[in-house]
Amino acid sequence: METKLPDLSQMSSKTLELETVLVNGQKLLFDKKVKLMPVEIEKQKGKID
Amino acid sequence: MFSPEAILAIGDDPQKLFLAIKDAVQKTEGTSTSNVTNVVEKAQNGIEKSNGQKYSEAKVAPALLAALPALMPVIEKALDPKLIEAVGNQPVKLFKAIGDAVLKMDEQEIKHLEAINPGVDTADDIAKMLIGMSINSSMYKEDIIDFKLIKSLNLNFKNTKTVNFKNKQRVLYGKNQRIAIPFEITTSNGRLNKILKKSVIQILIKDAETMALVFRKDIKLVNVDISIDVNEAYLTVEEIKGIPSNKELKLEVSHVRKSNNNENIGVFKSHYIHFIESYIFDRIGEEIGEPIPLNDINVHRNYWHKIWEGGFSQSNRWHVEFDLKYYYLLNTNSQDLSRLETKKSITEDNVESGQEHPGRRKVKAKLKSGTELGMQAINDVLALLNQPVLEASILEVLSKSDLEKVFQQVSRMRLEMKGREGDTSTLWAYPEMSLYKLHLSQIGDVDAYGQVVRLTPIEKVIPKPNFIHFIGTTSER
Repeated sequence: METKLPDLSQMSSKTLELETVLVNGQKLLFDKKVKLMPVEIEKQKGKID
Repeated sequence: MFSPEAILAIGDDPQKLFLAIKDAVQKTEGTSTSNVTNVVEKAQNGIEKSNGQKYSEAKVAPALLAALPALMPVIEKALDPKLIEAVGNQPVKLFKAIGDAVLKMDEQEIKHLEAINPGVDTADDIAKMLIGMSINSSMYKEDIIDFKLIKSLNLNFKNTKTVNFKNKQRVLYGKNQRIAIPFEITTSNGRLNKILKKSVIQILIKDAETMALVFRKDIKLVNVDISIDVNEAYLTVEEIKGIPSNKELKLEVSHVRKSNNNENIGVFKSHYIHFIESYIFDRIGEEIGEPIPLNDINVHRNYWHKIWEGGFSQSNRWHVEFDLKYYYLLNTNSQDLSRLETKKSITEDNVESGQEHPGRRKVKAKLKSGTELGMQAINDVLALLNQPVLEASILEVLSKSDLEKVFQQVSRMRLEMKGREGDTSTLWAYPEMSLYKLHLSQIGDVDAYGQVVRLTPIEKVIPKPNFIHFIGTTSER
């Protein structure tokens, strides 16, 4: 069984609802891809404030 | 104490800034100099916190930078040319260094600044401003020798070598050998033909950012001839071991003796230095190739993060809107990959406790979560992407560098999850990793004084998350 998820971030949620793409046995609702941006934070181990 | 408008009016006019501080000092505390530090700190706080807005050092810095020409005689007196070069165009760092030097001067010496700084209102103003801009004097503990600066003498470091590192000429020392810091003591007319019966060299090494003391050494000298170079300032390998590596430090060498009045008098000078073990982290360079999605939930399971799982009962349908912030961080003190604790806070809910549930439940919530990579996790990703792993000594150097700051990243997204009564939905995150050039320098040659005189550039590869996918799923009915 294929476990690799193709990049579906270009497909709208409405289109995906019509498809049956499974992830970990559940139906895929959306795939949103976001660019990570630099940030300055004060952090404690295992926590973000 | 100062309104945002006042700050805007001060702009980059240093005299105006000094006068404003003086005025504030006089209005609030009189003219006593004993509490000058507190007062100027208050003035600074006033600048930073007035009207609920934060005016950072960067806002004040242009004014200080503009004051530099007037302050150059002081700077040249107190600081080594190599230090001035290392400071470059970082005015806050420069003022910390000057302030640090000013704390060693007495009131008379500070007044002397008036004569050499005609562009500033009074020497007292300079002192107040510099003390205010500098470190807290409480860090000067009893074992640090207080002395009056001898204005007619200069301490100059000898045989100082610099190498180009991080776009500046810097003084670097090897960590694994004895270092010597020769210096000369001169007047404006050259050397003094004098033998000092008793004197002390004090070597202080401070964290360049915080000015916290990290090392102190006193070397007592007997019959030292100051008509020639003084070669007695040194640090042993054993002493160097405890000093942080690959970190900018301020080295301060003082030569102190007793005056005829039994007062401590002397000269000093400062450098910015680094101690280097084997490699130095330089920077992360350009991206290599395309980002690689870790999109196989089985193979890359370690990099998939189940951020939220749930649903709502007692309503036919439910709808959740998440305002999500997801962080990717590096923890140089840990080895493995770990999840940051997910924080959830509901901001809106159309059901209150004890109320009947409507047919459609609507909830708005903030989510904050993330993944933290440890040092070994960097190598795990490299191995996963079929890249050569970084050797232990490089990981060690990276763990002591400021790489954490470079790695800190976040993404923010609004997401909607919906379902029917009894449905379970899940929100996942997985990254796309990019490979970047990792630039390091390796010690090339070290001279007899322990100074690094040549660095060899080294290039490696390091992974860093570049994109994140948020995946929403629901249980099939």
